[in-house]
Amino acid sequence: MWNKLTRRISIRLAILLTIVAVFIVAINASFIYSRSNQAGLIHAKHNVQQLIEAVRNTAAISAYVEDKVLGKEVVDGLKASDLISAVELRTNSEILSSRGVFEQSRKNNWVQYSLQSPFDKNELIGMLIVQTDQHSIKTIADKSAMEYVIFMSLHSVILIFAVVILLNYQLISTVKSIASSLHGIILGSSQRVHLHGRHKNDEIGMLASDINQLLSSVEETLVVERGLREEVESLERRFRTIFEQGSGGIALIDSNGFLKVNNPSFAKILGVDLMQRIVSYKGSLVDILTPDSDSFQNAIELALNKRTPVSIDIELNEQTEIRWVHCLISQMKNDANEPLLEINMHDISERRNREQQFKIRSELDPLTGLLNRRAGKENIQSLMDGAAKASEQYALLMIDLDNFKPVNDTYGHDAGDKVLMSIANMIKETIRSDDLIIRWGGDEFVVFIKQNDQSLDASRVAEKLLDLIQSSIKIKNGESINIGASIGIAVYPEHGFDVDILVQRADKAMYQVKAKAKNGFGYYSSALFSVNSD
Amino acid sequence: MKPIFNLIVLLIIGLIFPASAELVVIANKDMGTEGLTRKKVIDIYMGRNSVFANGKIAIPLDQSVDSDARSQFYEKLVGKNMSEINAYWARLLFSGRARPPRVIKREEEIVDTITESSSVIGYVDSSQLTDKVKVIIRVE
Repeated sequence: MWNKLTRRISIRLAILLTIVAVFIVAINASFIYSRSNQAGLIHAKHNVQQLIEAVRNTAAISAYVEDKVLGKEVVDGLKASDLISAVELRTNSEILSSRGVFEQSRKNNWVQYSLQSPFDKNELIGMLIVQTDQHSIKTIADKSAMEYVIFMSLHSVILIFAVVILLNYQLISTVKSIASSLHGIILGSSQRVHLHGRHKNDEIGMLASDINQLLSSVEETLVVERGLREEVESLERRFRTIFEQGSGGIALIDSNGFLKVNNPSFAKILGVDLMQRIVSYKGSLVDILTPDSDSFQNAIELALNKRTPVSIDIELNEQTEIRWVHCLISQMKNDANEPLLEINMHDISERRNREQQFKIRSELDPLTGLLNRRAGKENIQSLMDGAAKASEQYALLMIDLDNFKPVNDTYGHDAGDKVLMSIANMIKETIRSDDLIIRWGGDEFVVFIKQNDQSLDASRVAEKLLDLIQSSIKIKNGESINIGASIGIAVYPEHGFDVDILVQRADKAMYQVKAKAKNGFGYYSSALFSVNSD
Repeated sequence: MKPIFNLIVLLIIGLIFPASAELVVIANKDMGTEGLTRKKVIDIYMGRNSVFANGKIAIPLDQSVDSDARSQFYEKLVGKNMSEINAYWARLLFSGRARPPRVIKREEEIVDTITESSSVIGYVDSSQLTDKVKVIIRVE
């Protein structure tokens, strides 16, 4: 209740003013009281003096003639005053008249007035003794002082009332109406504070117009902000849609490789098993995402150190079939300015498989399934590059079929193809799986083998091949034919470091075999030339 | 020496002031006037004391109200004019304790009264003096 009351300015003001007024009145009152009391006492003393002066002559006369009746008259007259409690009129020899009780304890209040002879100022003929009634004097002085104080206090109370009422009328009621009007206004609405005309041009008017300006600017700001917020919300919705429903997998990891957040597509691309492993794994994502974690780690470090995005294709672990994803790794910062990595992931298994198919198709000879010449040369070159470091030895065998053209001419192309396929299989069966077999041309094959023991391996392989190729090959209708082959051998690195040179020299050796005896093999030699023939 | 000196003084005074201007307070010749000072005279006339030193009552006689002698007498004796004297008596009249002196209208009568009675005193012009009365004081 009290709090509720003091919340109102007018009441609070009235209370404050009253306290101040009470304080002032109290100070004033004590001052006025003491002044007024003193003045009262002085006034009373003065009054007594005047009373005495008024009867002094008569008293002197009565003393002069020792007239007790007149003396009594004088004494009674004085005693009638409230200010005097006892009076005595005496001549030099006797008491003429006395009223009231003179108390020894009040001797201080006794006042003596000498009486002179009416006819001789020098002759003292008696005296008038008066005991002033201090109590009565004090009471009177008190009363008058108190009346004054009460008057002053009433005066103050009336003034305070007037001040409060005027303030309330002039200021507080208006401010209150502005305050309540402002209180009811919804921010951002077009409502404004209303003011009565009386205050249009004073400070309250200024206050109201300033408030209205403020409200206007708040409204404008809110309208603008509402628009912005809607824009942001719609953007956010779109981004969320992109994040949640986009086909690309998006994930954020910190610099330690911990997965922070990912969208549904990311989980879908990784598959249930791998995703579960990642979620429950305490270490870096890199460890379990791909078998080639070194490359992935390198890519991540590159992205962290470089500001540009790094892209890498990786194979995924934990899959039922081989699956590849393309990752775009880019660095970003979170709100705390710590580096984060965004991994944008796309499933490229299908494309990769297709590429693989293409590659296979472009590398293999469609008829025999052996490597074609281009792919074969590349493979040889890469083996030779590896051999240079390991100081290994290889042998290149150039195999050219003898008497193959007549087969085509006599039995047709199908028979020729069948012969080629049979021979390709023979070669495959003869050599080790890590050696290379290439269909070099129409009826030419190249075999590239690793030599373990100088040239012995190559000779053995060549002999074995010649042996096989010489055996009869079945063609259609139960018929079979016999063909042979000439083989030229060039050895790496003895005869050359380059594929073309090595092939050229093996070719040369083969032609020398073919020109001499056919169905044999020979090594390339710049000076000497040896032919082994059956 | 002394009476002669007094006489000379009186003569000189008599020369300076006319004889009629001097008022004297007189009493019966047989009256014991010892100690009857000026103050005593005032007391008698102003109603304070009307007793002589010998215990006899002294009755003052006053001249008529409108006479010059009266106003001169009070003026000279107590330094008050007639209205003041009247006011004085007016106060005392109320109690009845003291009364103003009896008024004798003629100066000769005053002298006669004093001559006849030993308990009265009065004031007259010095020219009215007889050998039947004696001067108590001269009112100057």
